[in-house]
Amino acid sequence: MDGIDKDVAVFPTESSPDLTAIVVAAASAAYRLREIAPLRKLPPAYPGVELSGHFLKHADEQTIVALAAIQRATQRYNIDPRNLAGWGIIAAPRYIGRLTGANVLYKFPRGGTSAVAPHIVAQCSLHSVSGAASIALGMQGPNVGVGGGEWAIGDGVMAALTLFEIVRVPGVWLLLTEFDCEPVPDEEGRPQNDPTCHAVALALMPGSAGASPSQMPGEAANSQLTLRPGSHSKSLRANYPEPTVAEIAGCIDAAERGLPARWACWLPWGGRIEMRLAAAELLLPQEALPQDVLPQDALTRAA
Amino acid sequence: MDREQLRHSLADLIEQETWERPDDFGDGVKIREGLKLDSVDLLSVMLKAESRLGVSLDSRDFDKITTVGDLLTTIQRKMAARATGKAA
Repeated sequence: MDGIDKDVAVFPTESSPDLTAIVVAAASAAYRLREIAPLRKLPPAYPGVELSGHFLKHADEQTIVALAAIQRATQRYNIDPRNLAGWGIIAAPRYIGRLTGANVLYKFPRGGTSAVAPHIVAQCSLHSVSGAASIALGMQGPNVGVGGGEWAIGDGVMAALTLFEIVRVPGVWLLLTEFDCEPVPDEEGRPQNDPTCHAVALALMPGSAGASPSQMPGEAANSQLTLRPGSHSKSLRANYPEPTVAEIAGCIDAAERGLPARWACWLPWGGRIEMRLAAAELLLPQEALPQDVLPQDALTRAA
Repeated sequence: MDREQLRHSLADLIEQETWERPDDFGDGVKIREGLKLDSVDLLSVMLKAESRLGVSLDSRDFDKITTVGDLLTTIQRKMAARATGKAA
């Protein structure tokens, strides 16, 4: 069929300049599926935010692990979320809600509406992770879920880095979550395996890969996330391996151990994501975080 | 079922929903702030109440419910209407 492999208009286009953000905090979390149930009774506690004790009762597993990753980031870098209330949140879950969905598909035909919890609508949708994180952190900026399936990492990075172009936010939390491997439900939605749920939380601020370190706030310029549109020739784009959240978590782990860390992947449309993290102690301290919205002209882009 | 029996029954449902039995389930307690139920929590409780008590609630009923007293009164009115219908 004509047009199937034709280029379509996307943003950023292949001729767009690189998009770069400074990584000011990064953390990861990973839990086996059977370890997640106890976490439901331990909702995060941040100053100024009063959550109910059942806040996580119906939350998807990817939401719970994402909140754990955020909590590690805020604790490790002494971040008070009240200072980031105007930030945005981009979450890119992968196949969220499969176990709950399988359970609902089993129960609904047998018991009707009273047999299933309506929470699946709010808790197992694409925007559920970002929405829950926004409530838990007491944030007032935009929160959006993107991706949802294969290559969700690429969708998340692109959405986070382009958000700086669209909305005047001083920073963005990028949450990447997935199971490895996917949960296998039985007919009633009960898991038949014990996969690991991974989450990464990256706190991003607009920045420039092309700027010299002296132009950047402190040493934070050494920790960057970059999207390079159209980096690869079309003839070499077939069969790129899909990146994993665990790979990114490994990069963060190396930085936390004081090692310079790099991670990169190709995207099927030809773009490339590159992340480099300086040793964790070099990341931007809390007092350097802006309290107000940055003017649009503060955005810098790599040439 | 009188009002106090209904109150006890609804407190059971809310305990199932929130893992906590409400300390205060008096008429004046606000659903959202006092019981920390969001709109989906309330919908879930009401679906269970419908099943347990045999009444049917629609979205217009939800708009009027802000306190425990509103909740009890709404359900009692539905139960009374159902009983009247059956008697007729």
